[in-house]
Amino acid sequence: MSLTGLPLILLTGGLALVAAAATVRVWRWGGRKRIPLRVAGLVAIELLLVAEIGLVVNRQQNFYPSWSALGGSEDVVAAPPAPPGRLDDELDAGGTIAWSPPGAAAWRLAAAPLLVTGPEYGKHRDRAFPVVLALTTPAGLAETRRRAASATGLLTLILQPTRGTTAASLAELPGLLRRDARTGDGLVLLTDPQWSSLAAGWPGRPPVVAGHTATAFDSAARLLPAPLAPPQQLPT
Amino acid sequence: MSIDGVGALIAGGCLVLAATAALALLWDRLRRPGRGALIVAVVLGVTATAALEVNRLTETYPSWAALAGEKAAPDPTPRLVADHSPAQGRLVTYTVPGPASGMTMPMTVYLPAAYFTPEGLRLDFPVIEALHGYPGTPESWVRRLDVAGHLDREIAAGRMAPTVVLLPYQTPQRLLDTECTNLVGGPQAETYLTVDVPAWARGHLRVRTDRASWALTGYSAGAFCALNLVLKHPGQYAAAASLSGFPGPGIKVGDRSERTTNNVAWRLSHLPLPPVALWIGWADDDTGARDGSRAIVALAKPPITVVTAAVPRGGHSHTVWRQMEGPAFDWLSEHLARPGRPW
Repeated sequence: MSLTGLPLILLTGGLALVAAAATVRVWRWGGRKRIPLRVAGLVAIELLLVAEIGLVVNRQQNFYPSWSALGGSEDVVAAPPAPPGRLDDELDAGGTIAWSPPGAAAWRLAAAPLLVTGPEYGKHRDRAFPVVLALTTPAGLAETRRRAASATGLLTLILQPTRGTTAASLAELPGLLRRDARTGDGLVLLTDPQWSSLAAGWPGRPPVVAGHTATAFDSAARLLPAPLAPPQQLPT
Repeated sequence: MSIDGVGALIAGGCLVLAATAALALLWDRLRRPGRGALIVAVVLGVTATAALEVNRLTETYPSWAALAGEKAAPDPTPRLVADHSPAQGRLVTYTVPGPASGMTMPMTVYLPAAYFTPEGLRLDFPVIEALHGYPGTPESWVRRLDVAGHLDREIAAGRMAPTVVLLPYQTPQRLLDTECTNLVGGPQAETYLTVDVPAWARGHLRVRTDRASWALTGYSAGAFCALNLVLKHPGQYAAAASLSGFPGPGIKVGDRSERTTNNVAWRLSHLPLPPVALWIGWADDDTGARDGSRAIVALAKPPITVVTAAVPRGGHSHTVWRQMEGPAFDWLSEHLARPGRPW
């Protein structure tokens, strides 16, 4: 019988009436059972009336739509851990490595991309790291590498685009990066002014910080979430 | 004896039983006035005990003093309301004045364990404003949803960054439903929650001040609040999580804005959409919140990003919200900037 259905409400109301009629009937009975019967009858009326009001309110508001909802479940499931990146062995140690994913030639970069991690990357293997993606120039490269090496709780990908580099040609990059390193959704572009139009066209419109100074790098890092373990999810 | 404890319920039940027994025993010895008095005592006892249980569920009156009419105001000095160990965050209650709104209310604040570490003393933390349902108070989050326990667990597991969570009141009158709006001729709850509370937090707590570090969440009426406020103040909040929310406030604001600017569905279909991230959860058997949430999801287009999370059953209940709060806090943390050094 449904918790919010009319049959249960009618049954409870009917039982309340029966209890009331029975209580009236036994009220004047003689003997030792009179008082216990009176008390039992009154308590039954009280419980049934409270239940009836509760059932009507619950039917109107749908707080507990079913008996199972009344019991409830608080189960959650942990999302599966992010699969390890193919380059984790090298990245775990912290430092800078050249990245040469398949198809990188089509990106038309001036030099091989660089991946930079700090020591926490290897320390927290259950966590996905947010990314500062630096679009830099040879002039800004040294400073960007310096800041990336001392940054904590993130992974830096340094690209040196050319005029031939387009946002469309880099469409495969996020997927390749996720395959090779434990990266999450957190992404900030740190761009030399020369590449601001490339940054503006980036898929998903991530936040963009201009410049390659230490302050600009720190500004970009501050916008990122912390490296986090996979979130709890609801069972579906 | 606390007003929302099992002890009060048992005491109420015992009083009802005693009055019932007295009615059965003394009926034959009493005249009409005496019988009438006992009947009134039984009815009042049953009503009061049922009311205690309803109050236990909603925490509308978290203390006897609150029931006696004491205005919701904490001790003048911050009060720890939870024991703590080094691994646990602390719940502290402060008074938050409202120079802009005219509302001066207590606010419970969850300060993560990292807030008190030597490293944490040098950091500013991201912030989530968590809004309660109606009827309800911040105590609903604390006692019914065990918000501190959930936050401690998520942070300790690394699924959430250490975050300051604000638990403000949304109305100065416990039985006046503001839905976090500025009621015409009434409490200016929206101003309190979006101007006074953030200004106080920035001035008194080590919290980050930028938009990327502020988010909203809430359940039931608080879920409507979270969505409505994030859409109205996207320059202040980057994300919001709705636990069993609705597209409209379900009250009259006084200027018909419940159909327009204080209506999430209207805003999504009539105004430019702000770049905010939304987590929208519901139980499938909670038909009102389910249909309302689905309508919101259908209307939320880029640049808004939406993630949905539904459980098959649980209704519109604390059980569902206890189930949802961990996943919602985790998701919010993924969409908030990290704790950082003061800028």
